[in-house]
Amino acid sequence: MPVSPHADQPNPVSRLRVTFSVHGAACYVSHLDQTRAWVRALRRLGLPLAYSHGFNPHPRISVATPLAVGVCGQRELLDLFFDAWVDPHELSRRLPSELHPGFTVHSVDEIPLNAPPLPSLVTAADYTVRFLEPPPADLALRVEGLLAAESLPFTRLRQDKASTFDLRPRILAAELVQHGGELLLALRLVHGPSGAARPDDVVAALGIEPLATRAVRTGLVLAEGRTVG
Amino acid sequence: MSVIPFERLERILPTVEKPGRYTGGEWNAIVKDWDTVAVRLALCYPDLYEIGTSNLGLAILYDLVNGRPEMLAERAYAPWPDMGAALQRAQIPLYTMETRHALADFDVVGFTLQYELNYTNVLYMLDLAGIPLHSAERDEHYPLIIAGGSTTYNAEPLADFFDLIAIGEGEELLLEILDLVRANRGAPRQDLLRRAAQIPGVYVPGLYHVEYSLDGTVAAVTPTTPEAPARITKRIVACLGPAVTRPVVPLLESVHDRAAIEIQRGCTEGCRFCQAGMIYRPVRERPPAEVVDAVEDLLRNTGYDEVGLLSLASSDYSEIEPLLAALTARFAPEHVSFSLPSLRVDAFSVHLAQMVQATRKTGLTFAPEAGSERLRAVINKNVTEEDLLQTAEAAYGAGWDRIKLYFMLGLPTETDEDVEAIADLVRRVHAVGRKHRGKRTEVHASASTFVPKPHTPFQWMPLADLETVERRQQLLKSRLRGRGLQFSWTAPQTTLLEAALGRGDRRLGAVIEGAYRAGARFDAWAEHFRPELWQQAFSAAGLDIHWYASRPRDLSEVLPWEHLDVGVDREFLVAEYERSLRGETTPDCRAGCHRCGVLRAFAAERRLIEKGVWQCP
Repeated sequence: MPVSPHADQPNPVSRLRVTFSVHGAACYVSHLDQTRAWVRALRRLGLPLAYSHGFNPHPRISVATPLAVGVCGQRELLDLFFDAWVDPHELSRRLPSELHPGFTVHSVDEIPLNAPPLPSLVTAADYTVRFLEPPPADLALRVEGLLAAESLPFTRLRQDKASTFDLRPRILAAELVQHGGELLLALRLVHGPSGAARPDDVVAALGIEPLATRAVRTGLVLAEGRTVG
Repeated sequence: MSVIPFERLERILPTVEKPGRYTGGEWNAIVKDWDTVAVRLALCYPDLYEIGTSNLGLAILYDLVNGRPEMLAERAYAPWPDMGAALQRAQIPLYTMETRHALADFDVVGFTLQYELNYTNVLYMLDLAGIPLHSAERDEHYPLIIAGGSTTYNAEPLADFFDLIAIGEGEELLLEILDLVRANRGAPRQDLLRRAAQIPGVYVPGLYHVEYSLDGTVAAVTPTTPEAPARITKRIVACLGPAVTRPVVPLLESVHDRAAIEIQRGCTEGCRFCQAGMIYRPVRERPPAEVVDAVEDLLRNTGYDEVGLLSLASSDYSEIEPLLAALTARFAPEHVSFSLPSLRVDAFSVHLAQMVQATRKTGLTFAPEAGSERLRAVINKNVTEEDLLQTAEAAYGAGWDRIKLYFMLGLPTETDEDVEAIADLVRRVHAVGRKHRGKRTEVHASASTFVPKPHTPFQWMPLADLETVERRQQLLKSRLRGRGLQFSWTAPQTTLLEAALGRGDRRLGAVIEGAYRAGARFDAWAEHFRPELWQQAFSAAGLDIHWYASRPRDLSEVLPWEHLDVGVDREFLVAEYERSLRGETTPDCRAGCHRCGVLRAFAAERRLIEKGVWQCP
């Protein structure tokens, strides 16, 4: 049996949580591509990113929850594990020079190594939806109707596969807001192991073509009521 | 000038598959101010972004041109048909990744041609850019449309579309062409082309007249103006230039998602089917110390954790073992792995693979190419059954579970017995594995179909009868069943087209255009290949695809590409062709010179460098 040369490596000694935004070209690739971009930035910086053990070691980086391709994020989270102690201020200072310009770091915090896995903490996500074409005149009524409904059977089509679920319990909040003279739809949507709603689902349920809108994820809601964003 | 605003693109990006192909903004992409440069080049790859971004040749040229302060190079790729349609609907011309300028805004638009089945994509990209397809329709108000790359050694099928073709290695030649364009800004296009024709290695197809004999073969290719030379000899660089250490790193995963460094150009083995082995002569190595330093810079500049050490034959690199030892000692602690393509069939190669694959032993790949000793002698693949079995012994013994073996079907003189021999060989390799790895043993055999290529000793050979090839595929399929055995093969439909275009003449320009106008593009992709469009295009042009693909050519025939000179003498190719028919092998030319002609053709280049850099004896 071949022996992994990293089998004797110690467990990570440092865990940092990065709060960041995703914009521009970076929004148009998958979360796996985004994760690779982070790993490359850290490798360019020569930081001691921890790798998993086993025959196919991979970098220990944990994204809170993937962004759908084409959706930008204003307050995203990821955890990084290192084999040596890394000063969060130093990481925060050095990242911008080597990080793809589609990501902007807002803050870096040290997290206990034994804190629960980041993805398990996410309970909901906040979005704002812009309308690229004038929305229907009765939009406010439609939103009201959506929220008043007991249940909203909804079928989501993805690559020839249809899944049907009740959308209503996954909508925690939906509200029309004015921002700088522009009408926006603000949403808080369930995001958890039992399922998630996407902004496109709600837009479609309102009878609007999702391609005529643009959603941005403005923040994430973590367990125990902590909100980022 | 038209720069496409990102906001306009954002209206269509959500509607297409993998929008990350079209945004640009990659790490290490070079964005220059258009007002500070005198010549602007768009480098085009006529296939998908993920394929094009993995091409090292284009990366080298991008690096060189952008290294010149008075020049800029930007990149463009063929948009998948969904994006092509979206661009047309939105009336957005094809644009470059760096600044989103329309291709028509550039002084020069250069395509790299690596594969015949990309030809319709050249027309597709020009069309999306709003540039007329024919050279004759373009004056100096349009960019100069040029090409380079391995299939331009027979550029004839594309002669109507390109203004000029760079024959050979582009490192120096492309810069000379761009200098000429700069010095002749505003000059009438025909004047520029006549001047360009005087640069060694530049082929201006429009300055040549092709005559045909009554039997349809080429009678003569003659220059129509004194500036155009009768023969165009390919350009080479005397030694490999500095390695690219700051390549563009795509956000979207590319097909070869790793750093790459060319450690050796050319190959001395002399396999008779192999075009690369003939057209990339002479063999030039990059010194090991230079490789190690370049890898250090590459890793620091890209953040990749894998490096491909590129060459046509890794095991032949003189100091491969010390090189791998140095690389792994230095970079393995940083979780960097190395990949070695094209390992020779021997135990030494297994040792090399062991050096670079300390952790993962996924599989090892070897290419015996033919099943029988006799047929391997015909193609000059100098590997014995003994070599292969010893290699298998070493590989399975060292802990690998899987060996992949590449073969070709339809080789000249091939019989059913040769094909049975493939099955026997695969089974014997499997039996070796059983001794070491038991039921975990796997052998994956794959068989491609041999396509005769220009400038090789097999350039006169017909493409095999495809019904026979299909029957032999089925034969192998039935013989390679059972636990741990896998067999895969290539579909023959695209092979016929590749064979016809590869050895075609100028008259195929009308066929390529006809197929494109009828909707052919991305012909290399099974989901887009539509053979009926090509059949119609051939018959509309009054030409027969089989005449081009499947006709044995007489040694006395004037071949459409013979005015393009790769430095290998016709006499050498003829001698190799005749030796193949007698089943005689020719040893690796590191052991002794076979006078292929390259040393004479490039005597001036050789004088520029120290002895020993070229792997010619």
